[in-house]
Amino acid sequence: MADVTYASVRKEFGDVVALQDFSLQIADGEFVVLVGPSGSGKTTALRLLAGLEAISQGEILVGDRVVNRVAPQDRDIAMVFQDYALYPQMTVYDNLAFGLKMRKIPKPEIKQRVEHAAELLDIGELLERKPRALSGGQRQRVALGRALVREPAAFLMDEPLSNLDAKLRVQTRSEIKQLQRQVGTTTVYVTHDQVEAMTMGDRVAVMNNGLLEQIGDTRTVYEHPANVFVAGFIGSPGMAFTTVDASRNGGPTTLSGGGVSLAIDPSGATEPLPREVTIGIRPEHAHVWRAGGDLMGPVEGTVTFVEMLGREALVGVQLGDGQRFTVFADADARTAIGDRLSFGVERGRLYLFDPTDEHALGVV
Amino acid sequence: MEIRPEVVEGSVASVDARRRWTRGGRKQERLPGEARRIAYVYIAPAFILYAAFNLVPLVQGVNISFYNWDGITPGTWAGVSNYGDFFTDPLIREGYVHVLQLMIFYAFLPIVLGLFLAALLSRIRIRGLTAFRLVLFLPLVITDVATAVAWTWVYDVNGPLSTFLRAVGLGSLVPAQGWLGSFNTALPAVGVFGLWGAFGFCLILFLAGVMKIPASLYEAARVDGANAIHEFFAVTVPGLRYELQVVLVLSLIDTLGTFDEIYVMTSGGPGTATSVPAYLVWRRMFQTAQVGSAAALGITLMLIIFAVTWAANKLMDRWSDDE
Amino acid sequence: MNTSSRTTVIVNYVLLTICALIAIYPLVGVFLASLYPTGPGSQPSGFSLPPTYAWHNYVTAWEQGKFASSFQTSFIVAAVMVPASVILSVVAGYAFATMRFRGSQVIFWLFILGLIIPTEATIVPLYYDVRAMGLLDTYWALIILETSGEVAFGIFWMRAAFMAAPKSLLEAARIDGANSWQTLWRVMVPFARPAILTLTVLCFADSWNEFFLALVFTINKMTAPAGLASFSGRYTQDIALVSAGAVIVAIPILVVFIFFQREFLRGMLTGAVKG
Repeated sequence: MADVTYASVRKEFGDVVALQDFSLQIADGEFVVLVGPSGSGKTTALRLLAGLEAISQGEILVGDRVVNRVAPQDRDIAMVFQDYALYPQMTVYDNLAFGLKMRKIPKPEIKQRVEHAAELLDIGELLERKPRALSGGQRQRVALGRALVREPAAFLMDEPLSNLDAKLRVQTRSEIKQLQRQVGTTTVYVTHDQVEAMTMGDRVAVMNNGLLEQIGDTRTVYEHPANVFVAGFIGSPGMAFTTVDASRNGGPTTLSGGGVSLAIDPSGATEPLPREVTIGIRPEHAHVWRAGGDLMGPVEGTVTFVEMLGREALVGVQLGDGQRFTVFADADARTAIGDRLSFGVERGRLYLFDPTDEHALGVV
Repeated sequence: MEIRPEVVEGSVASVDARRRWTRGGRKQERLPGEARRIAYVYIAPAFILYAAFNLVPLVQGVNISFYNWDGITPGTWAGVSNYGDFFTDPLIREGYVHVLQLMIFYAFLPIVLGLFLAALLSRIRIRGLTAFRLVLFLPLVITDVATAVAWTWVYDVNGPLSTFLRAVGLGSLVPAQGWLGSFNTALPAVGVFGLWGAFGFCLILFLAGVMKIPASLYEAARVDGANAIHEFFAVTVPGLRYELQVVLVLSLIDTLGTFDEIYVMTSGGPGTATSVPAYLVWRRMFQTAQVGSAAALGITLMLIIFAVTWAANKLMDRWSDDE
Repeated sequence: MNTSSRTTVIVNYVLLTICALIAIYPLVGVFLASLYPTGPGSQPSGFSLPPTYAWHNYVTAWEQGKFASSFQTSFIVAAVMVPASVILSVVAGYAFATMRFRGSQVIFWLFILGLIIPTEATIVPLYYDVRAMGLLDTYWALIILETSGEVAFGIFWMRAAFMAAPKSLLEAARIDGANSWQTLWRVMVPFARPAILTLTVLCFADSWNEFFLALVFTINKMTAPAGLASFSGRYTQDIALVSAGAVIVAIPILVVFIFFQREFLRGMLTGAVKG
């Protein structure tokens, strides 16, 4: 039971920089998810913590101990692998017991720990079976169990759900979260699935190209994304963007260009707005334009697709500048591809970004 | 799979410092707790044994090859004359000519036949393939001294081959001294023995390989209007190029080292009609007391094997690249 | 593809059967020949059954060919050579497959060289070396030489087999606290069991069938093939007896082949492709 610290960690593979100046403090008992597309460095960060790769620069601490040069088996961590990595010739019991046996833990205690974990994970009946006789979901639990019995300072999980089918994934997600709450072990969890990240993490670390784009709890990351990448990555369907001119000819600030024509109240911005601004709109905050409604707009474009969702429909709208947005509409709105459509944004849900370095300028 | 850490140029400082350098600026990062030097312990027993009885004797062999030596009295320096014999000694030349001829039977024929038959047989599902496989592998699996003895009987003047020929009225073809005792037939007879041994293996190997060729390739060819022969050369043969390459190289090397059957069936005879380099090595070591020459013969054989391997691989690689 | 007419199917089976018959004819023939009564006059011609079944030929051949002694030699040599070769190959192959160390490329290449270096290149100096060590005509000469020759292939084979293990398996073992030795014996060897079994079978076949080395290095302590060669050289006229000897020598390897066909096939087929 300990906290985990990354201090300015950098990792190079030859000419490739996999992780740049990565700093993160994970509190004892916290469930932190590292999320990002492939190549973002999230798995590298996890493997550095595990000791499966060597750090190029910086420090990693488990508790108060700098573990840079410490062998994986001595770091007091346990890992759940994406392909489970169960020992194929051993029974489930032996798989669970192996790490304990290597640490010379007395047999009775091994038995107790294994059975306790088996109970928690509901795999008690599988103890005598071999991995090849188990289903994917069962193997996954055994992999979890192997980490559990070690009672380590931290759990490291490398996309443990990606080999499960969608339904099982959703189910297991909450089970893992519950388990972690019960056991209270610090957990570092890697995934590329932002839905998984948002449902499981106490805090979410969004990564891209070896950089930590933003770290925060789920609400912050969703409502106050630090930059275009985080804004576009979190949320599904994702936020859409376009760049417009911001002008205030003595009057209210207007954003215009490419079909956009909005008046906004810039007081929500964190900085004075530059002349060009990138705006971002989440589909859930975009609705078909109605004059007199409480929306900001209008934004005009042509319908490119209509996707029926039951009571509502997702409508794809392409603006004059080619940028595409997604809008929620009523199912019986009779929108057809090729129609002209105007939509608006809920107040306080228009995100502004600096077009040059993409950092967030606030939300209006 | 994770990327393997690659060799990094230049220095990387870290808080804990003390990364390891090797000369020339190349560096391999050491993982914490990674097994490194202990690897030498794991490899040592095998390597020591191997080096002592394979590598060291190689060097010794080269040394011996520079002498004329009868194995008992001290040898006299011969320089490279033992190697010169490769060009001047008719016995040595003859030996290599023989293996070249044997290659037709040991390598080319089995491959061609195996390929052809595999293509023919691949069109259907064969039940009981395991049983066929077993039988077809037998010639290669059973000790070749024993199979050579069996074929000695086959080639006997009154053995099955002769009996059969007499029965169909071709008795005049049977040589008086038996097939292995007659100058014209001895080498081909050994060749057929080799063909018999290698053919089953080739067939099974190619059959297995053909099964791996996706049926869609054949279907595409058929749609393109290919007949069976086109299919063979356009789909089957290219699809088997790895197996072909390996079998070709292996069988050529094997042929160059032919010994057992020569010793058992013909003792290099009649006369020297079936002498081969490996047999010559043995003869010069134990029968004609030309130890230095034997050593040189062995080294030369090795170099030729290297050359053949390299050439065959090059050829096959080029063929694959032309795809 | 499977629009095969009846005739195609039949033709194919006929073809296969012909090939199988050709493969097996000399073997069956020599077996039948061995059952002819010995002595001049009764000539096995290969197309007729023996007039009487002279099973006692086998007893005679066994005794005259001194096969009791040569079989003993062959088994003793194999009994030491096979475990030694396999263990050395497993251990070294594991190091090559899972560890990074200086010179690993070079050393591995040296071993690969051994796959192409023919025995003929080293036989001359080896003979005199072995003689100088006083090991001529001993079990040890054969054991040591066969093992040192076999490890080149064995290491190549086991390295490939271990490299087929998922990296995560090794990492899991490392995190679980196993050192390299424990990982090898508790995780990797169980994982590669089929490959190890195949290697064992192949080693045995190579040892049993080894003739050239036995010929050069032994006179009294002959192995079975060498014993057969000597026997057939002495009794060239007596086809039935010599045939019996051939069958005797063929039986052990035949038995192993039948019981371990899967391993044999796997070894010879995949080894060829990987080679």
